Amino acid sequence: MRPRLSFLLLSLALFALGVVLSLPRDPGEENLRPRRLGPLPELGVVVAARDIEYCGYHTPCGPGSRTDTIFYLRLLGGEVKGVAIPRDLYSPVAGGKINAAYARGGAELLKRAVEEATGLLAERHLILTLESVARVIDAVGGVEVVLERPMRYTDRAARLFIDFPAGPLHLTGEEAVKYMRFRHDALGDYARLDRIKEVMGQVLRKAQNPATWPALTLALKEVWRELDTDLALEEVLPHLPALRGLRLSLVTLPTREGPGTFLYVDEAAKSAFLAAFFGAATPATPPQVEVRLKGLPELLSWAQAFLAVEGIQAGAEVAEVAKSGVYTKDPEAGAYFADLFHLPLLAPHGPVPGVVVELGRDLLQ
Amino acid sequence: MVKTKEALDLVGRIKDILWEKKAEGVVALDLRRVSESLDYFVLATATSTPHLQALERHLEEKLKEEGLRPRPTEGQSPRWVVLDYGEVVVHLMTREARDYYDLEGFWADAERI
Repeated sequence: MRPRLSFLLLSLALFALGVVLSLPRDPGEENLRPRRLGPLPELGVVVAARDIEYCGYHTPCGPGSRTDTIFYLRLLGGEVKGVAIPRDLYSPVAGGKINAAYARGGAELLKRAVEEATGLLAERHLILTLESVARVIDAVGGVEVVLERPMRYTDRAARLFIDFPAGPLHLTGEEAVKYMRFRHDALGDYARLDRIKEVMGQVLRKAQNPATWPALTLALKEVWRELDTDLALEEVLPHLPALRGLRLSLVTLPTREGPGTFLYVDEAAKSAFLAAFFGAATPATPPQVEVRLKGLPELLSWAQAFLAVEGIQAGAEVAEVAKSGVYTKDPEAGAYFADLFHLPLLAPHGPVPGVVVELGRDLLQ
Repeated sequence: MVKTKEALDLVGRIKDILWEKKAEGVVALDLRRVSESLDYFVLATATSTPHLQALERHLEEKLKEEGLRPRPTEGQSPRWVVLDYGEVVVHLMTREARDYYDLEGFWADAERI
């Protein structure tokens, strides 16, 4: 008797099901189990940007060996605290200005020079090029700035042409690098460092948006090979989601003028300032300082009501603000208000009365 | 910006659309209790870069038919695509990228929905 076709098909189907069920599980499915990454490491990193080398007049030929932008960044728990170091600082260990340390002895000498200047341990280094900085800024969609007056400067030999009008501007990576290189205003290099702090704060804020992560990882992979660093990209990238909760505070190393064009570390001011900056716990009660709010009218009224609940009276000034942040020379008061508003603390070099909280359009995005 | 109920409906809709195109490991995370500013993630694995692109196209087209468009993003990687629908952010990743960045591990406390 011939078996019926339906029985044959049923037998085949059962056999196939048995084979499928006996197959080992897709390892990808196992990886879906939740795992917890370790905490962010505590780390002191010297971050510097190399200038451009000129092989001749009008002939840039790649990254130079002078580093005009130098930051000491300390990663501590969920916080990054950074100290900007003026390029004209005299460095005994480098035997001249600190911006020449990298040219004289590479990253190791630069780290020693930064340790000498700050008294802080520099474990790792990340030496950027201007092109890599521009690429990363482009990956997060550029930055917004507000210029009080036009920014114009031409250096034909360096092929540096800066021509930005006053007012709110959106800058691409290349334009943002020009904005950060400009130092032809009254405060010169200090104002340049403040502009770099502003851009760093904005890039971090944008990088906290998960929508930027694919482009950011791609950009980092492209630029990493041209950087001089002892940080492996493989150890950096898995911590990308940790950017979400990261808080940024940036100050400038206290210095004093000296002979020639050198600046010298203001040792007396440095100890007290850095101890307060790195050591201070966020005060539990509102600090007794003058507080001023600047920004969009709708944010000002909200912030005044918010502060009133805390028992703080604040003045308000309507202004165009590109980058929200807390600006003060007082690290403890700054920590309190940065924590309260979840904003970066950006201590400028120039004078600031009390605490200024700037609330811009970036908060509404 | 969609409301919470609408967001949950959208999460379900996105999961269905991704399953249609044979996405693997489709998982939705409710991040509201573990993050101050994130709401929902939908994660899915593509078996290859062409599959990743097909998932992206299919999801964008299907949701566009319902009047939803993702917020513009800068540039995408061949291993990781993000579609930002406001409260719901979709991460389409190759298996390698998903293991490497381990977003679920980072937000292990988030409720799966």
